[in-house]
Amino acid sequence: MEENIVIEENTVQAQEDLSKMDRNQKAKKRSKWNKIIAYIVLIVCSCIMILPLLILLCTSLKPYEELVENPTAIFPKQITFEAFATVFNENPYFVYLSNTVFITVVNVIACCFTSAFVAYGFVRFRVKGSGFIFGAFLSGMLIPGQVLTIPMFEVYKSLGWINTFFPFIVPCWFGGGIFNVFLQRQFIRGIPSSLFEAAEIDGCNEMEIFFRIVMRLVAPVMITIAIFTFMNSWNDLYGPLLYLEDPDLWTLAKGIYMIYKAEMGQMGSSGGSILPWNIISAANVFAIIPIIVLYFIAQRFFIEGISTTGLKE
Amino acid sequence: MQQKIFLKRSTRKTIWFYIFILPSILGFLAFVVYPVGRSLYLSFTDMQLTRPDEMKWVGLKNYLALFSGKDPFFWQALKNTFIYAVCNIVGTLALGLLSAMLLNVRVKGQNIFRTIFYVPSLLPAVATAIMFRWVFDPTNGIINTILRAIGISNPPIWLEGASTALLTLIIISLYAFGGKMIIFLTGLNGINRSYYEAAEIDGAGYWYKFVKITLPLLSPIIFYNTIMGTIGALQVFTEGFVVSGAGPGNSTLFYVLRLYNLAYQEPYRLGQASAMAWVLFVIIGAITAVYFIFSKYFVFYENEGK
Repeated sequence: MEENIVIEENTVQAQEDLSKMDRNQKAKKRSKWNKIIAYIVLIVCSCIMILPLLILLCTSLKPYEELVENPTAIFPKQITFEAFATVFNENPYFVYLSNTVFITVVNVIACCFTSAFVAYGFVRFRVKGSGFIFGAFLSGMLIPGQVLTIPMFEVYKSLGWINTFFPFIVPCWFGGGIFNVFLQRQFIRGIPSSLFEAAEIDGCNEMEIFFRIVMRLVAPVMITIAIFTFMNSWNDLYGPLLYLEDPDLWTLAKGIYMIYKAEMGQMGSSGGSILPWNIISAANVFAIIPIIVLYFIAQRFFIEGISTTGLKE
Repeated sequence: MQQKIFLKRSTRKTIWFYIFILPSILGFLAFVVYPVGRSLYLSFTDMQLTRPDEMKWVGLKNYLALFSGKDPFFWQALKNTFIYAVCNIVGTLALGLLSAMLLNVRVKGQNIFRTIFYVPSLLPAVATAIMFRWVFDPTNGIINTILRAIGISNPPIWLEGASTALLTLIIISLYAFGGKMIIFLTGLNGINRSYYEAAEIDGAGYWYKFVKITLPLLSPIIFYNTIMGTIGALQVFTEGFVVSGAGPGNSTLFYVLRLYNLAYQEPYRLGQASAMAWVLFVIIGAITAVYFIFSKYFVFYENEGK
């Protein structure tokens, strides 16, 4: 009797093992197919994503005659840098570039520095009401920019700041964006406060603690803030449209927009002919390349940065 | 100098606190509090920047003019903007989540695909807008060239047709879904694999795992990005301004585009524009409030109750 039961139990066990193996194999097969499907979808999507950029690059390398002759061809028959030369010769392109770099660099420095400064204040001194003040600052993020831009336009106009860089390089010194303060605050909180206390005992005042200790430790979060500030300044079109009318002050974003707009206008008057898309594309390529280069240099920080900014709960 | 030493420690702390946050206080007053108050005030006036001395208090006139239908552009712009915003938010979140899940299958070359999907979202909006103008060109653009090649003899005219222009702008805006993908990838990496393993032992299929595990655990991320996405999408400007210039026939007139034309073109109607800006502010506030009210039914926080 007892033997029988044992045997039965064994067979049941064996059957279970068998079906488990079967399931595992099926699962493996299924996951292999999953991977193949994933690859196909990913490759197709990648092609779709790359195609417009490829078109842009190829068009910028075509001579205008070829564009007129065979406008729908993707690859140029002969590669020429004619369009790039035209962009540089007919527009103060390097002026646009240096304006953009100037505004961007000032913004990056100001935002990194002042956001760390303010954030240190919030972390180090738990003064009564500091949480409320911080909340009030943060609530400003929910206000649509338009509500704020109209009065500032009025102010800048009355200050004579139209056609100057002041509207771009002054505000960033005042807190450097509350979201950046938020990021810095999260980071500085992670620094052990014993570090600050030890420095205090050694006779450092708060300014010295900030410059000698905090500024040296916040590099990782600084890089994130620097990247996003860079992107915002570099890509900004709205500000330059409002405040920069003088062509010598245009940034790249406004420059490429105006090049495009001028060509559109010319087409309107000449009627029906094909736009010199090679020139427009060449101007575009130059605005895009620095961003792509920056991405490959600082890839890790781009990924980490957007992860921390998008996961805020 | 001597006195400073005798200051109480807590007083010294308070002073240092305000020294450090001074930049933000000044910035908040100058660039948030003042403009909010000023634009609210301006919205009740007929302020035009070309003749500021003639400014009069007009009460609710600007608001009434918007809602009474006297300004046909207002409703048109509002409608276009809402259609754009809904499609943009749903589209970028869905594409972001789908691509993140695909990359999460642990394919080889994950890094390459991630780069290809993510980099377009970093490019200047002006540049991508102009680029797509050429891509969607009705006669010579690549899209219609492909469509003709596969036998569609009469492809849509995209940006030049009143019925297709808005749709085209929405498609263009989806090109920048990569940022959302990175956020979702991080979120997916943070999900404990044991949840899935437990569900698999119970015999759960893909759909079940997605609905019961992935979505709830990602819901805080979806929630936050929906709010920030709404605020951003309702203020869409560059695409409409650069690519289509509100046309054809105002079919791509966006809210901020209309506001821009009022505020920053002669004669700088700051009063009317401020009223528009405040209406947008109230709309965004109301939508955010609704999100928060409904969030307790949809948003799941893993650490709750611990």
